[in-house]
Amino acid sequence: MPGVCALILKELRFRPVNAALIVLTVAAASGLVVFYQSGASALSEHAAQAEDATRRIQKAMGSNLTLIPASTDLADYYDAGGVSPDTVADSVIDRLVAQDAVSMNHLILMLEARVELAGRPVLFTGIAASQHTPGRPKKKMNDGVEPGTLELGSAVAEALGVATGDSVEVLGETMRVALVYVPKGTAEDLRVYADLADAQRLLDRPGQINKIEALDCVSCQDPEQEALTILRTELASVAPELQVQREADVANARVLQRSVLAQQSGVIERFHGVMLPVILIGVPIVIGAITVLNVRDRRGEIGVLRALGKGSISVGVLFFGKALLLALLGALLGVAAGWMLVVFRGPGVFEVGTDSLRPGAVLLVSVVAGATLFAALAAVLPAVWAVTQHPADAMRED
Amino acid sequence: MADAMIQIDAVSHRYTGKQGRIDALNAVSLSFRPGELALVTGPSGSGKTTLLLAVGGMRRPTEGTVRVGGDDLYALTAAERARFRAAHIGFVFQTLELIPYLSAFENVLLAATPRGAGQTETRQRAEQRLVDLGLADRLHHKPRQLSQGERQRVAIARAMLNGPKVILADEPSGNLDPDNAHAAFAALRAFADAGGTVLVATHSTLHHDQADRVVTLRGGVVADTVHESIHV
Ligand SMILES: Nc1ncnc2c1ncn2[C@@H]1O[C@H](COP(=O)(O)OP(=O)(O)OP(=O)(O)O)[C@@H](O)[C@H]1O
Ligand SMILES: [Mg+2]
Repeated sequence: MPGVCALILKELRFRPVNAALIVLTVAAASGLVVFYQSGASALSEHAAQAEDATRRIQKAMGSNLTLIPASTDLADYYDAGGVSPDTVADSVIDRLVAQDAVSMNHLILMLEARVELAGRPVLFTGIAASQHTPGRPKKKMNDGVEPGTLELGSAVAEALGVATGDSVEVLGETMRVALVYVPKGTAEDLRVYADLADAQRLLDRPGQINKIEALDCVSCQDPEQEALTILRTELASVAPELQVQREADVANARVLQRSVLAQQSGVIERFHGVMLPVILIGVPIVIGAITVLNVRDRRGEIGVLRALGKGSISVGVLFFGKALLLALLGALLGVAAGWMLVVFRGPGVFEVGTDSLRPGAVLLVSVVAGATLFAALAAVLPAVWAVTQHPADAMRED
Repeated sequence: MADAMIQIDAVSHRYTGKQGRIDALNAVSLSFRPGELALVTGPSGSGKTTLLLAVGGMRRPTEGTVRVGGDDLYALTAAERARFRAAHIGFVFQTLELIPYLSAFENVLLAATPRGAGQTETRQRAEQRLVDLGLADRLHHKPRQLSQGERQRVAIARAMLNGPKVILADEPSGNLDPDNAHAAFAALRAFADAGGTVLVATHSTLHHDQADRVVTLRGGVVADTVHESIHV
């Protein structure tokens, strides 16, 4: 007889609607999977990049959280230009660093005071090297200041007429200038940094600090919760003697970024939560049902093939092979259509650039393989039904 | 009978289904020689089709044995029986069962083995069978483009393709006008004259005179056997 493949092809041309239904179903499903999956990976990449960018910006800007003594009245704090009159024991750092749940990192202990230096008011800051929560190793943001030395803002150095290597007297002690900062055009130009222990001694506040600067932790935040609430809750249990203030610009940017990401991931969640299950269940049902109808339509044919001595394999392949072939065709068409969809509609739907929306070869191959596998599974039972038809009974049907 | 082509011994067949049991054949014993064309007649439901299916290895009788060319059909495995059927038995079904998406020629070729179908010799034989049955200009028509009589002849050509020992034809002249019915019958007669054995199940009395024997079934038993003198 003409080979089974030839029979399959001829039957396809004879019943094009039946074949087209399978091809279209598989193509639509594969296309959607390629489209949304490309979107999903672009978005997660995008989200990771956005987080990275935010983190880099924050690092460049310095810290975005300020912890000050809880007893300080905020009005006094801001009136005093961000210097708290109260202090707490610097051992609080041990509690902040020791526990995992704390959503902040890069903690820098500070003791600040307004002092006069050569008759000019400056902001004098004792600063320690930044400390990190164990298990979240990060590059040190701040190495502190070498004991016995000072680091000067440019305006201070200019007013005093000193340069790196010169000596300066501060609060009765003479210290060497280790570094003069380049002019920044901000209040930084009026600061004088010293080692924390030196500052505690000079200001006569041993073991005390009045500020901790920190970076809140983007990746360990629950996107559903407002960061401030989380931070306050954590502080209340870990270090109730502190309160938190945030850098307004960074906080706003974070809120904006989070809302964009939430909107994008909503599209993806609807796909994963609704569409994908519908596809995974629906496509095999459609293919199975169409194949069952096809077997029923062709019972006489099955009977005559058996009567002519054709084996179970031939009959099974006739139906199984057909489903497989159509699914493969559908998957290839679907993958191509999905790709087009990604290129032309993707940027609009996912709100990410065309460059990051490139369906990977792994995705394309696995969609084709997956669709074919699903079709195969769906066609097994109908094909078995075809094979187990009693030839004489099969022919009695029509 | 030592030279029997078909040997049916005490064959009974009972259909069991939801509606109960039907004794379609009851202890039927018959034998047919090479070169013999026998009609199996009887009222509707008398067991004609069941008998043909049993002889063709497509319906295992509940009791009894069927031998074709000396082989006990139901002692073979299903696969062996399928191969035996492909090689030695030609069927013409009551409903013809031409495959709608294949041409007349392809329908005939369907009876060949996969290897045979590719061989020029087999293809020429398929074509020749159709030409012999007057279908030279219908080779590449689909069944739905053929008349009922033409379809009938395609089915007969298909049954004959592999040069079987036996042809089993169920109502080959049903629904045919007398001319077509005669043509179909003549082809079967020619096959028998060339040494084959033909069993024809039919209601029609039209061709009694061309048969070597007329076996009448009634309620699954052989009610009557008449040997026609002309061809014996
Ligand atoms: N697959 C089946 N299941 C149950 N009963 C069946 C089946 N096939 C046939 N029968 C019954 O067996 C009996 C014999 O049927 P069979 O088809 O052999 O008769 P027939 O002589 O060929 O009739 P007709 O002339 O109408 O073709 C009938 O009563 C029929 O209803
Ligand atoms: Mg019948």
